Amino acid sequence: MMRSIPPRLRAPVNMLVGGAVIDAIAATVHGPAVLLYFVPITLAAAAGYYVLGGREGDFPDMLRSQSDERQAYRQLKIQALVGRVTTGAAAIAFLIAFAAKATIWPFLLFLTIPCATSFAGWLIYRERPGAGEQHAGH
Amino acid sequence: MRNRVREQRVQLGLSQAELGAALGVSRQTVISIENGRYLPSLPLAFRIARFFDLTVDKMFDPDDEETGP
Repeated sequence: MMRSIPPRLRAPVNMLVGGAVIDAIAATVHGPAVLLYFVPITLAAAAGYYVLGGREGDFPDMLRSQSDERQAYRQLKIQALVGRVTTGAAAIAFLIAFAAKATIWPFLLFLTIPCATSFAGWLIYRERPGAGEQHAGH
Repeated sequence: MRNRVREQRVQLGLSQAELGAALGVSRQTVISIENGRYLPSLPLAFRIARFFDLTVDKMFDPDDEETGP
C-alpha cells in the first residue's frame, strides 16, 4: 500500500495514521477534550515532515525513503546511538527503581528487549558459509 | 584516502548534482566523497571509476590516509 503513495507523502501519512491512533486512544482514555491538544500536534508534525521532505539534504532524503549508501549508513549509526542511549537509560532507571524499591518489572522489560534483540540480530545477520566454502585446516 | 573525483568531475564540466544523479547518489554524498569525509563502498567506488573511465586504484589513492566512513 505504501508503494502507491508518493515518497514525499509516506512519512507524513505514517505520522497522520500513527497520530490518529494515539489521538483515538487518548480520547477514549481521557475524553474528547484532549483532542484539542493532540490533533493540532499530529497535524503540525505531519505538515512539518511534508515541508522537510521537499528540501534537499540527508534527512529529507530519508523521509522520502530515497537514502543512498552514505545516508543509510548514517541512519544506521543514528539508530545504533539511539539503541545504546535507550538501553543505558533503561539500565539507570532500573537501578534507581531498584534502589527506591519501586516497581522494577517495566525497567527489567526494557533491559531484556535489547538483550534479546541483540541475540536475535547475531542469529539473523550471521554469515552463512557459501557452497564449496571450506573451513581452515580442511 | 585521497581521490580524484572532484578533479575528474570538473574536467567533464559536471555539477555535483549531475554526477550524483549519474551515480545514483545524493549531491551531499558526492560532496562528502570529494572532501574525503566518506569512503564509498566497493560497488560505488567501481561505479565512480567506470563513470570516469579509470581504474579504482587510479581514482582512489590509499597511500594518503585521511578519514574513514
